[in-house]
Amino acid sequence: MLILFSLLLLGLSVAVLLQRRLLNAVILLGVFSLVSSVIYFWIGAPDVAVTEGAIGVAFVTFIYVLALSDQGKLHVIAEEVPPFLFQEKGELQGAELEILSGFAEEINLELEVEFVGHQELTSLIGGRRADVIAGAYFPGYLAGDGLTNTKGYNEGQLAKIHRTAGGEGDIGILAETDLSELTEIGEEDLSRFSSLDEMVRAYNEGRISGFISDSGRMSTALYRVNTPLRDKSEISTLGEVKYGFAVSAEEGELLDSLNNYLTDLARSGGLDELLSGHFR
Amino acid sequence: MIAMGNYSVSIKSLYVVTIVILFGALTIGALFVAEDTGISRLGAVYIERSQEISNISNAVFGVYGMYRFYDTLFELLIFSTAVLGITIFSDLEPSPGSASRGLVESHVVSASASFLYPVIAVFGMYLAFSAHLGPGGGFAGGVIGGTGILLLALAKGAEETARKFREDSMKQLEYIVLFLALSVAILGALYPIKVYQDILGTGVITLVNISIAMKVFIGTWAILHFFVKHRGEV
Amino acid sequence: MSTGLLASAISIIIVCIGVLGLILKRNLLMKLLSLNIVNTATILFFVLIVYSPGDRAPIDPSPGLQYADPLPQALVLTSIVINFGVLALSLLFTMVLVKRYHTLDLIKIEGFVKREFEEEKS
Repeated sequence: MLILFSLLLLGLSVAVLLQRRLLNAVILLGVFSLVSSVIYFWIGAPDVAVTEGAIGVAFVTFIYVLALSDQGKLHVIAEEVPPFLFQEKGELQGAELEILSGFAEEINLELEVEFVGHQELTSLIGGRRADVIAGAYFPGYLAGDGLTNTKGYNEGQLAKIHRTAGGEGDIGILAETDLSELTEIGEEDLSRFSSLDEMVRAYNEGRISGFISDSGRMSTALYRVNTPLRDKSEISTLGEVKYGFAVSAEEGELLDSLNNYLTDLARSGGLDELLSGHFR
Repeated sequence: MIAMGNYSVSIKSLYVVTIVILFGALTIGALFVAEDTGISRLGAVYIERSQEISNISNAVFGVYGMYRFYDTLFELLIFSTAVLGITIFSDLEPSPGSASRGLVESHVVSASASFLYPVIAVFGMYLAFSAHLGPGGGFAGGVIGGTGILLLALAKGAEETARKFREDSMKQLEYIVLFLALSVAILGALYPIKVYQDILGTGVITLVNISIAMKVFIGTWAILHFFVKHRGEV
Repeated sequence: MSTGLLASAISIIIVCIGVLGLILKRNLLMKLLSLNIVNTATILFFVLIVYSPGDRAPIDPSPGLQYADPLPQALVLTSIVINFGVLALSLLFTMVLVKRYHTLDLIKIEGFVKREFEEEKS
């Protein structure tokens, strides 16, 4: 009987070290302590059994779980842009979700995604509130300091939609976007909007003659532009963008590890497979 | 082909595996030899002694609470040092301090916790007081008292627990317990154990037990408290 | 070979497995888990090595009966509690490291520390 329990302990110790998920390993360690406590009782050491039971099973498991859930979160904020990162029936979906959850697993963090408006993105990054900006982010999408861009994982175009008949009015663009490096349109012709929906509504109502957006957002916008108007519009490409992520400028280590992960993913060919699944 | 970097790492781990397996094989071999010569049971003398002294019927307590009390005292000091380290380091990096509820959001759990907690505390105290008579002892008693705090923290959240066990009063209690343990140790050094027992009777054994149990209890409380404080929530 | 010795041989194998995990695993928390396994197995070894079948718990001993050896039990009893304290301290260190470097990989953390050190020097 004693040998049997000892062999069980041996198996449990191997099982703890073979676990890939840390939480499973911690729970198995609790079982390990419980079995060893049974052995102590069996061989006439009740004092040791009681102490080991209380400490090994209750306390050690508890403080491990506390430590695990402390390091546990990679906090991602994003604008909701299908097919990049979006919610469908309460479940997160999208190409970026697969990339980020793979990254989170590699650095042993738990992924937490929060959808916020376009204008809140800059104010939320940094500190403990958010680590990564996602949601069809490309360099130039958010103007301002305090952000560093990661490597791109997908390419897209910057496009302008405008009425075929021409027409009066400014070109719409999202606020806080800094496109000076990407296009040559002068600042005086632009009118700024705080969200994509608002911009599309203005286009529908005829207040602006066209608007500029990246290809990821453009497909969403086109879906919302009313049908007769869509037929009378044309799209012209202005430049190339590279979709990636942004982290706070202070988080150098996070940037490095995210860049390494993206490089590895691209090299192993997993990225192409993943993208072809989401962008048909 | 294996890359050069990976290759050197695997050679290193091969060395490690070999050395550890060699160590294990040697130790198990030594066990075989020891079986032939016979392993001496050093503790037999303590069993005989505890038969002579009437007050102590748990021989294990006899060893760590009476005959080897200095060992125990200094090991308690090591434990206190570890706890002191936790106190200092959790103060160095303060947490955002968000308010927290209990981990389990259920009325049944939180109601039964407030009912179960005194039972657990009494059981821990019983183990500590009766250490010289039956299984249990100061260590087990203190730890089980700490399990009560764990239950309270899980069911009612960190704030409620911090209100019940206030930081300043726990620290004062720690000084009192340290004074108790040290005075027992010094008294034991001044008088031989026989004299000592004639004067104080069973009281001194209980004093030893209580000081061990309270020290361990305060230690586990401090670990839980500062871990939770460091994180900001349970 | 008696049961006690065989079981203590198994506990030595568990110690070896724990040491291997301690050295070969790169994750800091995995290292601590392996350390915990080594602790428990060592305690188990101390208690098992003096075990012979038919031992009673050494409580209220009377002459003529066979009792378990109380000495190793008393020694490891204190070490269980100390292990817990030391484990809590090292977990707190791990939490501080994770908060700073956002990774549990020891080799990466070493790289970061080395880089910081060189930056400070220059």
